[in-house]
Amino acid sequence: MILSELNINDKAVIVKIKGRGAFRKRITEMGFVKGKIVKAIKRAPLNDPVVYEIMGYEVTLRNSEASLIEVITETEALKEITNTEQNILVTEEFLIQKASEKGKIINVVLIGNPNCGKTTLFNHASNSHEHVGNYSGVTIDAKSAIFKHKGYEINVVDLPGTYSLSAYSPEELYVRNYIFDELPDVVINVIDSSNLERNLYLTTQLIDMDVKVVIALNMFDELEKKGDKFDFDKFGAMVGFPVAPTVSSRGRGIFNLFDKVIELYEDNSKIFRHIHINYGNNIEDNIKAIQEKIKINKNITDKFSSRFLAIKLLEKDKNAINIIEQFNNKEEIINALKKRISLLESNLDEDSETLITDAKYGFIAGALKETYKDGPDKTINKSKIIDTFITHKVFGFPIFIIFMWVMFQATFTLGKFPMNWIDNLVQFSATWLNKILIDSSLKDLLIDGIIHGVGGVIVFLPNILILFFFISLMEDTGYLARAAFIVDKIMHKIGLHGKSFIPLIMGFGCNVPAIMSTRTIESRNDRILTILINPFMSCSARLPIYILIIGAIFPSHPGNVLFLIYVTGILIAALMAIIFKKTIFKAKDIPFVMELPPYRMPTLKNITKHMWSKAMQYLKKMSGIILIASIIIWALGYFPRESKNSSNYKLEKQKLESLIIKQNSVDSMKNVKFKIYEIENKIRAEQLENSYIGKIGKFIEPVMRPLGFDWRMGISLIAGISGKEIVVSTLGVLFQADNKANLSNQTLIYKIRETTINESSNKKLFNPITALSYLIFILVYFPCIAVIAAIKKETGTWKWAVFTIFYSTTLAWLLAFMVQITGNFFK
Amino acid sequence: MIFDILSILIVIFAVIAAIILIINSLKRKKNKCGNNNGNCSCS
Repeated sequence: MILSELNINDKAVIVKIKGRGAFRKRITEMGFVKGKIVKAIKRAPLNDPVVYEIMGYEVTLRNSEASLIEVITETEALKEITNTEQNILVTEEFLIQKASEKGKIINVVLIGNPNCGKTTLFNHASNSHEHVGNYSGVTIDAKSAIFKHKGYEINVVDLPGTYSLSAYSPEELYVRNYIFDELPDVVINVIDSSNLERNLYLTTQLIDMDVKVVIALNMFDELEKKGDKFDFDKFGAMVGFPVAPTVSSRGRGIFNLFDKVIELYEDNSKIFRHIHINYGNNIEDNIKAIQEKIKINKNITDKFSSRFLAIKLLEKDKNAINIIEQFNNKEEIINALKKRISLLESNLDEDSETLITDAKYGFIAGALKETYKDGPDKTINKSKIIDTFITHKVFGFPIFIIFMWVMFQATFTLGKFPMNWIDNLVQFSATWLNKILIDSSLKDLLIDGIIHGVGGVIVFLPNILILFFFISLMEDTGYLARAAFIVDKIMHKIGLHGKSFIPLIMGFGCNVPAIMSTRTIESRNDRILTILINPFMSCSARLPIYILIIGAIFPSHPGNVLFLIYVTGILIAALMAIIFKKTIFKAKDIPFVMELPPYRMPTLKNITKHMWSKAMQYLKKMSGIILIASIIIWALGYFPRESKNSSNYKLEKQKLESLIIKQNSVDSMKNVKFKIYEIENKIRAEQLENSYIGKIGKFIEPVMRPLGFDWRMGISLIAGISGKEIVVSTLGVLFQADNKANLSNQTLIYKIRETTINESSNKKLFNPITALSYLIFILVYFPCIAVIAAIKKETGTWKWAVFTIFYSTTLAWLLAFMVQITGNFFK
Repeated sequence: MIFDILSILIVIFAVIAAIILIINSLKRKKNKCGNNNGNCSCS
């Protein structure tokens, strides 16, 4: 617990002192150090401050100060007693020992520019399997893991990549607030060694923040390969942060890095010291003047560096202005700030923010001049050579289109073989169960509900893995960022930036992380617009539906039709973006820079890891939500068992069965058997139509009829709201139950192709036009519930989530209807 | 008969599981990350 929570007359032992700089020094001098016993004596009338007894004398601390001291009480120590310590008395020594054990937990955060390898380092250090890719903004949320190093428990948190700690974009603000709110013990500043100058900008802000930092010079091998020389020890001494070179993709230097983290945590680092970046006399005077006014608010400056806050205020940082809103002398600070900024800007004839940035880059340039030497061998940059083709004015776009086309062709053609194997296995298990089980509702549940429901979806696992193989390839090589660059011009035409393209492509995998990855887009309008059109990017959950319907109805050119569906999704997204930009989001674009990371060879390990985690996710869904949904859909279609004519049909069937034995010829016996089949089909058809799901389907059929959909297709669309894979499992359950004699024991693709509108008609339910309008409907309508939740979370309001539900479903209906009308017109 | 009862039981289990899944997903949304000494438990 924290010291401010300690009850009066209770004792505790100090575990850790948080906070920084002057506060830390003052509190340590008073005797508040690790392992010391402290007792709460009494509270002031308004509960604040509190008198504590430490080392035999009494000290008064404000609650805000006491909240920065972590302690362990007797009760807490008792809870942590291990089996071997069962009979031990809770003495002061024991409490001190427990405090020292607790003090060996170090909270570490990883901070660095996007794509500098933070997550790879995180994965290597903690043996985690978080997703990594060669483009900016892969990590979109804090991820934490715990591991042991030299007797210490290290709780490491991987934060999203950020270029600076200004309140410019949501992730910058997120990272800054994380440091202020969580007060990590040590910050690891991960730096891309091949791009020192730009990466060190963030370091200069960490220097201003006055936090404990260890620099991880990541991808150090790339710097060495170039033949460059960097005296990182000297550099570390200059900036006051310990430096450790690492190659996180191979795990090099990570051990040494965490050694330095422990050293720094235990205040044993010989290198660590707090330095001030010299911003020049003009700026420094202004910083000091503002800082003096901030310092009056002790409870804030114990947590934040007053110098950092003063610099941020001079940079006109909105979030810093919000912080001083809670100060008693806020008006005095704001008035002084206004005067200081105008004085500074008029003196130096430049915007204050630019002046501070220039000074920071000046500091970096100076530090590097003394420690960095370019190697003699300046080989031609490989990335530049590849880029002359890939991002070429003329060839760039066709190369991109060919790549996408190959991706969808491969998804179909390569996936066909393993898909058939799994399908045969599913059919085999259905036939086998059919033979060994006696007729009962359990048998129907197992075969029609579970095997055909879950089995119907599981067959598409290979296709999904192939798609993810290509997405992973694009991410890891750095091509995804190039693709964004290529389409930048087109994106501008539809009112978006090339940067919005990455979340859109990510949407081919899953719309949820894609929507979360829009956090890298600075402009709020552009973010919401990208979020709104993202569901039109066909996620991998929709792939099984496409493969099923295309495989059944368009077997001659499956890959091309699949490619067309995806392209249609992109076109609809573009069209909607133009409409939204002209109606809802009229604000002008904010220019921002797009990062082009160097090309990197994708590693087989990373691609396999990515595919493996997707396969596991998919199988987990099968055994969870899809299994549950299949059982419920089956039950809704199975009950009630009795219908209007069922007893008549059963009597008729019994009569026919008794006739079989009496038949003399084979032909007449076949004739009777066929009649029995017909009766069975009538029973099934009537039972299904009278079931609960049949009733729901019939209820919505009038809405679906104009689109050429029957009630079963309508039900599958409703079921798809919880997850698009469930559309296939629902079709599996509903169409397998319709067990026509000539269709029994056939694959779902075959049934989709052969099913007729009704018993008496020969007209196929899925003709090419209906199939196309069904595919379009699936592409456009209601994204799944998880996407709606992600939209709500990312936009911060239900407004856009509800808007997405309605506009996408209405649009889906209109487009599907247009396909029907146009198709029938040209038929 | 036993098989029929078994199948109904499975369906009941599935419905309960579905309800639990829905409740859990709603709960997860409400769970906010507090100051828990860096041990962030929310996703």
